[in-house]
Amino acid sequence: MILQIAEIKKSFGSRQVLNSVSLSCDKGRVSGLIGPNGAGKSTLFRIIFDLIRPDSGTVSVYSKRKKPLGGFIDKPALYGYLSARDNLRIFARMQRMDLTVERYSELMELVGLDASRHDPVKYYSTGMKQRLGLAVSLMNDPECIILDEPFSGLDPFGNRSFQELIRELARTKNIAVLIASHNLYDLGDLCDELYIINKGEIIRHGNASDLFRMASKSYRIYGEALIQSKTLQHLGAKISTDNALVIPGVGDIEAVIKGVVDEGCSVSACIPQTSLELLLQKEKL
Amino acid sequence: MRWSFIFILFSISLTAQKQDSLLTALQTKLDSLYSFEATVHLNVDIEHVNMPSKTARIQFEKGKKIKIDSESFIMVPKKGLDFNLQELFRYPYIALRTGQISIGGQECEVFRVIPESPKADFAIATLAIDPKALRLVRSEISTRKNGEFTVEYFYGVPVDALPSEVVVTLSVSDIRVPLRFLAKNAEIDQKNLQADERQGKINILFEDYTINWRNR
Amino acid sequence: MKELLAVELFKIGKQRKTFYGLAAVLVLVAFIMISAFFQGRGFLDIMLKNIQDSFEFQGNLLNAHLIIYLVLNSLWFHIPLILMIVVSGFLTSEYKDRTVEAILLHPVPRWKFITSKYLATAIFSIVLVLVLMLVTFSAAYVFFGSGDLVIFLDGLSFFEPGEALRRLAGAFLSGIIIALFYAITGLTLAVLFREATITWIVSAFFLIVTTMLLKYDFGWPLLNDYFFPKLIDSWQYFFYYDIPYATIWIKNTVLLGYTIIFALTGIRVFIKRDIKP
Repeated sequence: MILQIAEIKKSFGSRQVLNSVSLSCDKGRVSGLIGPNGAGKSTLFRIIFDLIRPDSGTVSVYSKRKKPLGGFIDKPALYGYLSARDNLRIFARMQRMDLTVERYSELMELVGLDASRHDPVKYYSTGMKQRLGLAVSLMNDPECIILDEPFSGLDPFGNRSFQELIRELARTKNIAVLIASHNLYDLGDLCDELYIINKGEIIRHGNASDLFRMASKSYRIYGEALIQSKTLQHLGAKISTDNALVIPGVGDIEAVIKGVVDEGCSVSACIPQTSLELLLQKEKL
Repeated sequence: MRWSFIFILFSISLTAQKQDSLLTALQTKLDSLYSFEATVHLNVDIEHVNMPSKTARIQFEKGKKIKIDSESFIMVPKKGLDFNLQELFRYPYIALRTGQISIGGQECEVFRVIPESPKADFAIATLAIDPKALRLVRSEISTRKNGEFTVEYFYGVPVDALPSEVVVTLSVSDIRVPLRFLAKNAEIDQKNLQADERQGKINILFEDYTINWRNR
Repeated sequence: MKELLAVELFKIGKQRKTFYGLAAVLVLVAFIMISAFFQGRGFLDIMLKNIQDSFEFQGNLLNAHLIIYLVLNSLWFHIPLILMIVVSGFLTSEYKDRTVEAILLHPVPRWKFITSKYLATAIFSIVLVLVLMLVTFSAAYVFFGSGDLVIFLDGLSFFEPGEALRRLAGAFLSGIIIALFYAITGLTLAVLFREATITWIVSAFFLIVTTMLLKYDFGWPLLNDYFFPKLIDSWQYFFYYDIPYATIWIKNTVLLGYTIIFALTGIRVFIKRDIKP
């Protein structure tokens, strides 16, 4: 375990923002923190980084490194009037690091950016800024990276490649990664474990695939001639030209798909529709 | 009685003529001064005026306006630099001996000089002359337009014809504080500033004379 | 701390607003110089009018020293205003861009970060005044030449060129303390208010009020002597005929004390406060 947060409470005036929040992160694993806007994710991250002091609770970092934690909150904050190199140099110099040309190139390559660009960062795209923010976070080799809404503003391609980058970092560098998002699908494929937060409380946590499965009560099946499927009609599925939304009910989805295929319909894909609302409910799934 | 009156008048005229000859002798002596140059140190002593001692070079040439040159800024009194009294004696005048006075231990003859011509720029002048050294010791001049001023002459050794120090005392109008002046509001003595005029002094020290007398 | 200070100075040097501020100051000086030249003649006439009845003047009083003096008089409102706006922007822009947050996400102690900002601000202010001094003196000497300086303060005073130069330089150097005070105050206001426009408004208000209070009689000697608005005119004492060095020394030392107190206040507030968006 590299990071442990125990029973964090925080109020702003009379409004309680965090109520006994606890979570932990391990090296080499990607942990996700999912919750709607205003759930307290950013506040929790600010507390982890000591930007805000909690009313009670503890944040424990088990690392002997000079910079145990790296990351950014909301969007990476960069000096828009400086180039990527100058941004990295500033953050390096603050930590008494010498940013050699080789280290700069290595970092830029790691996050997939062009090291030969010298223009100010304000001209970078959102995706490029996210990557540069990640490069800044990785300076001085932290053991844990904390990223708040890293996919916001990214197009699907940018989103996908950024996810791959994070996964790669966690695996190859053995870094613990904690990511917050309000978008379920951003974290679905990426995280090993998930924490669900709502109104300042951790509602549930566990293995990501288990939680997704438990919260997936409906499925969207893609195929041909689905309208002819009696199995789907019997289950009351909403059937369109090439897809159908079905709730298996007491059966499981495998049996439903088998039934549809046996009826002569072709099935090309079956995508579980994970419900954030279900995840956010306090009741057992 | 009539003869006594005539005798008194004759005595006065004799006395006037005799003392007039002292003034004439001084005038003749000063008239023979053709030119001189000297280094002068000007020290201004006027209330509310602060100026360091200034060094300049003075050039006098008979018949020409006196020149004072300096590398730095200097304030030169408009009056009091008439060393050969040519302004005083430019126009016909009446000279009256009015008595004697002791100035700095020197016995001096006092003359009142009144110009006969309205073109003269002074109304009356009082001169104190050292009869032995034939030098002017003090002059008090009332100008027609520019108030009164006094010039005191100090000499180094008895043989010196020209002074080693001249002190000009004149009236200086009040130094008015310009309202839109940008400086700090100094704590100015308002009561003191009510006076319209005050006395100011310029002390001029002479050295390194180069004198050119005519016919000497 | 050295590295943080170097980073702060680097950022100052890379921001356009720094150069806009410098340019504004230099343009202002040029404008004041031109204005002073045209007003200078009238100014001299007024000052010397009554003496001119009894004296002839030889020498040029409308020279570099008078121009520099008139520029000096105008500077001590305009320069602090520009300085406070530029300096407060060093921090408010970081709040706006959230780079304060970004820096504190790294192992950088808060007190070191904000102290380095204050030190960088101090260095910037000193350099600004020195550049201003250099430019003002150079331009004045080139265009107007040397000569005696005449001013009216504790009387009509004339200073020879060497003496005038010494006093003008002393006034500028004394003015560094004043510039420092306002710059540090500007940064402290940025710590307190965080937002650029509000900080500018409060800074301008602070400057106007201190300038007004300079001439106010509080009726209490302690306040009249040691309250900070009363300390911002130490540069003027260099133009008393007999320079009251003790007074200048005391005023500048006490003003430095206030500067340090304001800086420490800003540092403490920054350390204690949560960094929120």
